[in-house]
Amino acid sequence: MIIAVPLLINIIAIFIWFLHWHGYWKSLNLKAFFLSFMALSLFLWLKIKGAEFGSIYFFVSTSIIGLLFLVESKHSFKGLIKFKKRHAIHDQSKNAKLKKEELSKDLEYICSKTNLLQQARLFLKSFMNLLLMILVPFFSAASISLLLPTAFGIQEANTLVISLAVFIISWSLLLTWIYMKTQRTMALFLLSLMSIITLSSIYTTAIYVTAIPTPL
Amino acid sequence: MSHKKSFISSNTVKSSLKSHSYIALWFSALLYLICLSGSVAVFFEEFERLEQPKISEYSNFPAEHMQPAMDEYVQRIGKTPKFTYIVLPTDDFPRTHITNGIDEWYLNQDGSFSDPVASHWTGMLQDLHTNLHLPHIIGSTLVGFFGIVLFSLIISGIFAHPKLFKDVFLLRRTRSDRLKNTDWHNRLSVWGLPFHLMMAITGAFIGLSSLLIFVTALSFFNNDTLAVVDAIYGEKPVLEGTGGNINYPEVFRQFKIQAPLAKPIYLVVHNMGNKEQLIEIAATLPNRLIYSEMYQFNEEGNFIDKQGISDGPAGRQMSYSTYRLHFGHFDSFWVKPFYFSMGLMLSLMAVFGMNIWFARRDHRSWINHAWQGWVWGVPSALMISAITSLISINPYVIFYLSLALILIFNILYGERFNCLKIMRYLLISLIPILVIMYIGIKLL
Repeated sequence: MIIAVPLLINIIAIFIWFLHWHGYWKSLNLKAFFLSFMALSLFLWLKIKGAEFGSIYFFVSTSIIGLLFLVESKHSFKGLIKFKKRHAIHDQSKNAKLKKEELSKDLEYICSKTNLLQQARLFLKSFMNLLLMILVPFFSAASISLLLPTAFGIQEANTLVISLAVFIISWSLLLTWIYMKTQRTMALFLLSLMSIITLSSIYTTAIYVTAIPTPL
Repeated sequence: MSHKKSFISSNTVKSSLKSHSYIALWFSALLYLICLSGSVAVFFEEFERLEQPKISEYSNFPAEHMQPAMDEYVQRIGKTPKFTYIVLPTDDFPRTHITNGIDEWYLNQDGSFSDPVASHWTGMLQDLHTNLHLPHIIGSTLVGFFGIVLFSLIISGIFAHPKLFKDVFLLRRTRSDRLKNTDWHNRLSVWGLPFHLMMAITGAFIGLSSLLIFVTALSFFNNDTLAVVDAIYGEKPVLEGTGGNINYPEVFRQFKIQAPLAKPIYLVVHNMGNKEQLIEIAATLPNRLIYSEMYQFNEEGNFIDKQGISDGPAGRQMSYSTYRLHFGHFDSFWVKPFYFSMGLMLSLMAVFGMNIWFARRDHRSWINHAWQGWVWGVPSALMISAITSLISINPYVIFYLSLALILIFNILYGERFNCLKIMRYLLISLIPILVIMYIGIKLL
């Protein structure tokens, strides 16, 4: 099975979620959507040859599902820091009580045990958000590096090695760029859209336009 | 008074700094682990020698002993393997061993079998750096991703510090903790910049190459990964022989004629005992970064061809050069200490970078102690696992167990005791313990 299919499905899923997130498709039943997406992932895992790739794909897909559920509409890692600061600075009475319990503790030290549950929740959300921040540039970089050999009809393996260099550089740059943006949602949205368009073009070109001869 | 306008706008600086901090906050712990283990792993050949010090060492393994060694190897493992390697002595590793990738023995110079290869701790260290002890494709892809992260951090770091090159000698040792850490972080980064870039790119290339082969096979080679490997590195010739004994002395005589300046590093026999058996000698070439050139021979010892790694297509040469460039295995021994110190610099950059973040926070929490535990715990756990592996205890278990204990100790007692001092003493005291135990157990 061509790799573009599961990749494309993943990206479409992210795109649909983005539409919903931005309030364009409020009628979408997210639970039903996620369940069908999960079933599709499982089906593709069974169909795709190679256990390692199948498991990676399933892991990525289920991570995306978790991510779609959990990610807030703002950068939650920033929220995590703010949350800690708020509890550390403003909740003085609680801190004072805790400090009494921990007699030998440094005065500056804040016991964070009471916030453990909230912290775990926020950490999970931040982690899921992080996955999104990694995966979207990954798909975009993959589409860029695959676009070049497809556009120029390159199928010679030694030249394809160069596309790995393109992939590495573009993934790094996009990862940096996406974290530089204040409006990260917009950056993620643009990159997802670009990936969908590029990968769809590559897929269409590879399947319907170019008759690919066996390189060997 | 005129102000020179910086070529990077203040907005770009701010957003680059943000990007640098966010990415670093997430990844610096694992980046530190990968960089530190990589720095130590540069000396893997030396560690392997130390782990089994009583194995005989020599500079030349006679070709006439190869056939008896191959015969005994087949007898010992009870089957004829598809590939059999005889790894030949080199300046860095003056020992010979025979393997099919699973069962491995050292060979004495007279061709007799010595002890099985048992460098468990070195194996654990290499596995930690290359795969983070995960299954190969997942682990190497993850480590490759950290190459991407490092590259990304370098880019954002350059944009976030417009005065990075101007302040190349600035080190404010008497100022606040934050400034001291900032200066160390920036100085180490600017001095090691070319090396760090090279490490990031080659690391990402090596780590993600399995993924590239996989994707290329799916996209262009009808899901045949072996076909991709052959297309990149060159196909093996199909031979028609007798399947009898191989004339190894003739193989090496012909090899010397074909490549008088090349130094053989290993010999591999494909399909041993079959009519299609093929002999390849991998050899390093002077002043070249490629891992090796492969010279192919038939069972009678006649030269057939070379694989064309040294003078083949650019992609092949490039992908075959990344290994030596990344691990510092080229030129003389002194490249290794240089790589070690540069790798250590990279690890320290991660530490100083995180320390800046901690210094900027207006409060302390368990994360401060967890980070301290991690920074001192990783080298300590490596040392503890090295010590216990001397008495044949599984280094994987000890590494994770000791690291977990150190982390827990730091998190729980970080405020009560001066854990930093304790961790320093622990690490320093582990060095003589390792040396004394090594001398006692291995040498006496």
